[in-house]
Amino acid sequence: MSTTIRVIVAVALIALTTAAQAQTAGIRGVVVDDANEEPLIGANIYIEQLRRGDTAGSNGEFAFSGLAPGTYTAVVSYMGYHTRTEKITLREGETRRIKIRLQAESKSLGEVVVTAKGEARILREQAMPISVISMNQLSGTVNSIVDVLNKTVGVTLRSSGGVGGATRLSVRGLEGKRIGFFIEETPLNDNTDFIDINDIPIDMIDRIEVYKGVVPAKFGGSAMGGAVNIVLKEYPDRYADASYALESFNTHKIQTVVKRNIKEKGIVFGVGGGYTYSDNDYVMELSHLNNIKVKRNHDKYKKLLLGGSLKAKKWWFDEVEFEPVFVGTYRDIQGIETDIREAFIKSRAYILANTLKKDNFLIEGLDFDMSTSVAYTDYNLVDTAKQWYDWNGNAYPSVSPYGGELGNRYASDARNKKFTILNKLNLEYLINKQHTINFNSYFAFADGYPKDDMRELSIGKKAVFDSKMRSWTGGLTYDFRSGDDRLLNSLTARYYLYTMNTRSASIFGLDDKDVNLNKSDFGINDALRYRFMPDLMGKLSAGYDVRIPSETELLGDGYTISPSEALLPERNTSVNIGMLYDLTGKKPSNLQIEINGFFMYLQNMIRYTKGIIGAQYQNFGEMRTIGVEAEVKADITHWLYGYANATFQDLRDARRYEENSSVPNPTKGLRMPNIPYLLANAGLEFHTENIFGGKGQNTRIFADISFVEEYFYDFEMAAGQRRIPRSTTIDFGFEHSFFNNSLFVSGKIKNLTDARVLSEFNRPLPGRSFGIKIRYVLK
Amino acid sequence: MFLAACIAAVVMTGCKKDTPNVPDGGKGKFLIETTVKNPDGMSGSSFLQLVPDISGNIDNSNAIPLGFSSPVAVVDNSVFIFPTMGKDADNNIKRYTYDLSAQKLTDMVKMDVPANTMPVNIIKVTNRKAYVPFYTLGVVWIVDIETMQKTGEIDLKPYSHKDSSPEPAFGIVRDGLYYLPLDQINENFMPYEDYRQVDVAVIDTKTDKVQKIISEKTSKLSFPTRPMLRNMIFTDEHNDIYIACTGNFGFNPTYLNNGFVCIPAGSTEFDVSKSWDIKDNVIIGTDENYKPASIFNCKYIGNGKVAAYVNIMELNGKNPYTSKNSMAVIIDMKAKTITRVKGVPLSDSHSVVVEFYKGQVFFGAYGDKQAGFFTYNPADSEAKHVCTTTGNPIDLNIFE
Repeated sequence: MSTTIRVIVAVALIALTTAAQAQTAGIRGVVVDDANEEPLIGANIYIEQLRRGDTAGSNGEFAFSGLAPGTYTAVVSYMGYHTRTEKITLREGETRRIKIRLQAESKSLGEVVVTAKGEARILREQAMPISVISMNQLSGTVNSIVDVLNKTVGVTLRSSGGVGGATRLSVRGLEGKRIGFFIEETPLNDNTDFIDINDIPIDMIDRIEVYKGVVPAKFGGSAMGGAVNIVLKEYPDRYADASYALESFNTHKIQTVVKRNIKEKGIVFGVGGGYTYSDNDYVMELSHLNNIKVKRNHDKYKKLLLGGSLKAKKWWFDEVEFEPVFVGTYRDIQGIETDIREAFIKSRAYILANTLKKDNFLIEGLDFDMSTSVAYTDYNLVDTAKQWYDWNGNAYPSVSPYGGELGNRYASDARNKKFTILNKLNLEYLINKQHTINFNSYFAFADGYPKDDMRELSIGKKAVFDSKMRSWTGGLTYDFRSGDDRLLNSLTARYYLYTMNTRSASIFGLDDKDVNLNKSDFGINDALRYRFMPDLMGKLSAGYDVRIPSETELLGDGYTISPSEALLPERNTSVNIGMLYDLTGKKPSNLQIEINGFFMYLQNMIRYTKGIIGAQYQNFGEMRTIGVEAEVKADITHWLYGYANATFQDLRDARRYEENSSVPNPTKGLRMPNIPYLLANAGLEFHTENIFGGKGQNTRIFADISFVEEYFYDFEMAAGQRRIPRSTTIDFGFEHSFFNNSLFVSGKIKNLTDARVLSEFNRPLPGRSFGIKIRYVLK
Repeated sequence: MFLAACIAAVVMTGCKKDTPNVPDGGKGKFLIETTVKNPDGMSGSSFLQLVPDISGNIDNSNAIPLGFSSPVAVVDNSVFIFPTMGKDADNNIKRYTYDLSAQKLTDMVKMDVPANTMPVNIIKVTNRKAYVPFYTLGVVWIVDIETMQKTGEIDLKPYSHKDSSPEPAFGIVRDGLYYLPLDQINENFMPYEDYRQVDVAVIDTKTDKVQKIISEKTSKLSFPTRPMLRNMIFTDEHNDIYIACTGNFGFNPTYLNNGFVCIPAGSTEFDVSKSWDIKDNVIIGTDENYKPASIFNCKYIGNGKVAAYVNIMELNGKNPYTSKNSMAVIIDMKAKTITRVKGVPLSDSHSVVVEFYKGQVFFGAYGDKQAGFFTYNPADSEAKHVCTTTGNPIDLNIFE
């Protein structure tokens, strides 16, 4: 193994030394607004001589490489701006850096309203303070969304295992259902838990937006404290993309997307999908068993994702889209405490989604955006083993005569069927360049039909019940932009309504009872951005947000989590303040420095609790967070990019007294257990063109280091208490593309030093692993 | 800044983290265990330490950290620590030796046990031989205390109702027989609705064979002894065995039976005439006329009296893990009366310590205003708060 590493390192070093000698010409640039230097995301850059174009990314940047010496004509255009033409002359080996400033279109009398609103629409997209991770930059260096988010300042992913293992987002220490997870602004973590964050093929992602602190109203649902929104690629007219990745632990990933545009009819067809298989058979060290090492032997994972798309652009709406999706998952359940050998989970989801979009809907300046999805899901958990095993191979009879090895004291053969309808409506009215109003409505309808005959047989009575859930979130946002564009402010108010009708079994095994819930609450937040200088802006936001308990929290999961219908909503008061110094597109370094401070006070915190008599969610206590995060990224040279970030998040118990008492809380002021408090990431990326000669080739070699300081397993009151050890992992990889980014070959070593990494509650994560991927893009 | 961050990353990677020293557990003849609950009330950390006396303020800074509510048992000068319940457990039993002269814990030895099987107590049979019941496994291990090796096993699974384990709880040895109560619980750790009776396995300590299972079906009592509480089975001055039965922990208003059953001296069968269901006894000294819905813990203090904690159903609240639902009482087995001990606050169910030492009853309580140990002299009218603890006091052993 060490020889392999040496060879890879040697290849990397050779590549680095050869780089300086093998450059051909290229153009790198950025498109900005002439008036305020704002990057123009989505601007088109077309090189006439090449007959090819590019779209400006999240920072307005674009690039053409592998060009022969000569003079080129670049035509740069953007809606609401004058098109501009630039002549660029390149010498052998030269990469020219240019900045293209576009001027807003003049407002002639006849078009003044339309143009002003068009411009405001563009500006509105940047009103909220968000961090955007462009996949243009990361593609090829990451295998999954987890890889991307783990590099992001203030964000951690709490994984429980290998491929397909449960993953929970954590933003500034707040995690689970408090953090929204959205695809194209549609919430996925409430009532739609059949899809995991890692199920989205990485190559289909255009960018990832991370909201910290306040979450804009245009995202439905009740995220509080942070959100991650995945924005998928807008594909060109003709497009095909296929990839295959082979990774350690017998992991295979196949992904493909095909798009076809019938321009004259305004119709775009697309199909895509992916299949993932993994044995996840990595070796884990069991801290509760004298650190013995065992191979994971029951963690097989299979996932099939199939999707289609029919988009019409001439059916009265600006865009009408229908998307059928199928998601099938199979997952063995891996034991940690005991050697689970038979239990598994299987799920299938059938989804049909529709999107309707129209600008200037009914009246001038009103934008209409509505998406509706209908889903039928079938979730199957089987736990019927008649014996369970310890890690020494000894067999013991299951507690119930009907079987069960998961420690539940009963057997399960559960089939949960659920029918879900989600509707999200967004109406945005642009009053003028300074003022915008946005109304958002998010409705969720879910009827659940759980069934578990085996469990009923084991315990002698019915334990799971049909349920009907309806929820509605309404949001109103008012955006203000000052005339000189120095100030942006976004004020949001939201109202939540939640109803549930079902029956529930008592946690103590008493009689069933009807549950009829009707909960409502409201939240408000405000975010502003002020530009002190063209390169320096400040951000300030504050929120008084609420999160209605989710269906699982209120009703349990039908297997191991008991209902807790009396839960109160969580309330979070937060303040965020930050500064951003940004030279992107203005200086060759593209330097960005960002520093943020944050404060949060969470009341009626909902926590998952597990005791002798089952598990359930309960309201407990108060927690306060003070934190700071900083990030710097820059092109150190024209061939080397680097980034580093660090987060310190100090979450502490804020309860003065024990519940219903005046006895001082002995853990007041102590750091919350099982939440990392100091994290850091850094990385370098070397990139060059035509490293091996020829043309149309790009190479990237990168290394990332990730650090998590040792943190507490419990509230720490005495020396010698168990902790979750510090971890430092290094990833190393490369990507090489041929034929002007049509064929990609990439490879990656994760956890290069084979460091022992433990997640929360000391769950063992994989050690060193390898992956190689080949991808072909037909443009 | 970028450079600084890179340097910081390298430095952080390079420096070695000091392993904190494990405290030695203090010095003294009083061995106390405390639990600091996480906000959920169902998880947290426990701490074990020796203190010279039960007074003042006792914090946990010098205590040995344990898993949440890890059961502790003392046999002569050996201190056994059993794994906590559930997934957080270290799968071993630890044995410390109490050094009488130094009044310190020394020489820790471990014995591995299967995961999630709940070994929670140990009963000495001879100088080297002891029994360790495994609650969810339905077996009793025969253990050499000196070598901490398993030497045999008694299988109780055939005596289980419905499931694979009859849940052997806390036993007692009398006249060469090991009387081991069987809890017979369902998936919620509560007694089966169709099996409200008291089973006790009678095991010959010479042959380690089950002689018979005796059952008390008349009183409808159930859940004989909580498996980690050593004093819920005891003999009185007549060598009669009494077993405190917890029942449904006060959570089921339709089934509140709880009380005592008796196996008289000279007999290996129950004497149903001595069974006493206390659920209908009004607790003297309570304005609300509370009745005990469950016995949470008890200690025989002589002369037919038992100091105990009982559950008050009306005080269970929304969260049974943190509600102050446990009342300190004196149960008079002869007069059949139950009297509240004044001065001991209502406690949550984690803190139900009852010990008896030199004529004083020690109650450990976690009340709404006070937490710690309280002493009660049966001759006095009221208990005194003598010691404050950090967190819940959950056990007290005293070395002589």
